[in-house]
Amino acid sequence: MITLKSDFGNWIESDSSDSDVVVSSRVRIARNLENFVFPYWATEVQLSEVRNFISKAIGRDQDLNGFTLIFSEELVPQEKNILVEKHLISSSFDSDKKGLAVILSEENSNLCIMVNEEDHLRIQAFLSGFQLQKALKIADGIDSKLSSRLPYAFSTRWGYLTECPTNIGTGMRASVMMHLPGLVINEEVESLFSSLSSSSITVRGLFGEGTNMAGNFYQVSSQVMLGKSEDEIVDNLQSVSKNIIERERAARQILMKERKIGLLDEISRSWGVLAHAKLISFEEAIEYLSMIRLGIDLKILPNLNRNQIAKLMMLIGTAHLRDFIGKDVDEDSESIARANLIKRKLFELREGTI
Amino acid sequence: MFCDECHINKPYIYMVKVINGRVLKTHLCEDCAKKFWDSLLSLDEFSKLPQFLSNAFDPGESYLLEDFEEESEMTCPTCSIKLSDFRKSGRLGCSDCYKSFEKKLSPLLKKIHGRGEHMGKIPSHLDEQTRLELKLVRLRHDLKVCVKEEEYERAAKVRDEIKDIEEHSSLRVG
Ligand SMILES: [Zn+2]
Ligand SMILES: [Zn+2]
Repeated sequence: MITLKSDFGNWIESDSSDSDVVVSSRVRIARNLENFVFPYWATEVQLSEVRNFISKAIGRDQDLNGFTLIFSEELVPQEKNILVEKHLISSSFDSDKKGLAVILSEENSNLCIMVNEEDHLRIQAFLSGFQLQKALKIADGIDSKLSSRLPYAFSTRWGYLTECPTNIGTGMRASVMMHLPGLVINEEVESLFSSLSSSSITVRGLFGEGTNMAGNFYQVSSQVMLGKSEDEIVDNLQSVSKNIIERERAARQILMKERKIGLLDEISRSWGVLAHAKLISFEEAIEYLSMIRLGIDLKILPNLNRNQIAKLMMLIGTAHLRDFIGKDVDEDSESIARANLIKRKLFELREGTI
Repeated sequence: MFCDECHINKPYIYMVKVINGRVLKTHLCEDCAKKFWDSLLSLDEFSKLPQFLSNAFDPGESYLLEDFEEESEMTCPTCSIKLSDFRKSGRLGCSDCYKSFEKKLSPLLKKIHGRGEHMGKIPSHLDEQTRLELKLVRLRHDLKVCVKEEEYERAAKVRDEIKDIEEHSSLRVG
């Protein structure tokens, strides 16, 4: 049995090109089996049948050595948290629903397969920085291996068939998480996104709702499922993303030229608030951490590492925090715990760098 | 009467939107309806459509499903899910549902995905015949693109490839 070490899913650790703008790249593939009821309608017994079927298929395939299927009931809360926190499984694994499973690879900790979540199989590859092609290669590789063992539900007209009809076709979605403070501060974000509306790309703020975005983080994802190949879809997302990266860098240069002192002030104040606040909400914390990240990227805060900030952003999420302090706490104690955690982490980061 | 969104075109559909629990009834023209569809599809990653379905399938008011009611007791023999179950949840019961409800589902799928056909990966368990069929569909698609872009040299190559497959198999269709 595989044991989850805290470094499992180390996509956040490694530095890679363009990570000044692109936080992470992700490819997800949805697959289902013929003749099995989709998870939403399946009974517990039917879910177990799917799980056993997949488990057997993996077990007898030499090619799939190094993969382990873990029943959701066997995941201890700590392991679950690690996986959810790293965005490798969804929070539906947190519910008491039985019959789910997760497949992990010993070699490739950036790969994770959910069994019986919304579809029978959800293959996901998650890498740090701008590595879409590599993420596709990883997800596609394991999909091909599984395909030779499992009778995938497929139609020549509609492609891979899914529980929700919006996901048929390639069954694949690719996305990148971007940090765009330059474009936000220069108020270019709206016009950029409306110029993208015809490019089969969807953009949404990652934290917060509607126009009330927190922290300048955006998810840019592919929208087309049918009529294009996986490569075409990823290439399109890749070239649109490159364009956004260039524009974000240009916006940051303009900021450094035209309002450097204002920017320095904002970044320093962000540090000040994070280091001294007694109560802080998730949205507010993300807002300031975004400025810290920008400070690192612009070498205003040269001794810090942006991956450490990315990690901190994960730790202060409500789900993870509640795990520290207990489930039934009120909002205030949560905000206190968050403020304390941030203070401690920033202190550690600073200590380590001097 | 004009479209509630652009106030220019004639209304094409009648739509009931539920926003934050408030029910809004609107008449939309074809263009604005398309924009609405697009906005629905832009829901993150893997999107769900139950909310949308319960809107679009609102009894008697939807353009998609004029005669939907009478057929909503249609049942998929493989999984026993009724068409009305899908209507309520936005989730199909099994992969055979796509065949069982084809007549009702096809217009919906075309609305969501456009006219495209699957051009992506093919699972490895497909038999040779089906693979070739798919390959032909794609080559014919490529041929059209080549001709449209006036790349006649490439078009000739694609045409040869099509001929080759047709001659070496029994696929002399369409
Ligand atoms: Zn209109
Ligand atoms: Zn069915």
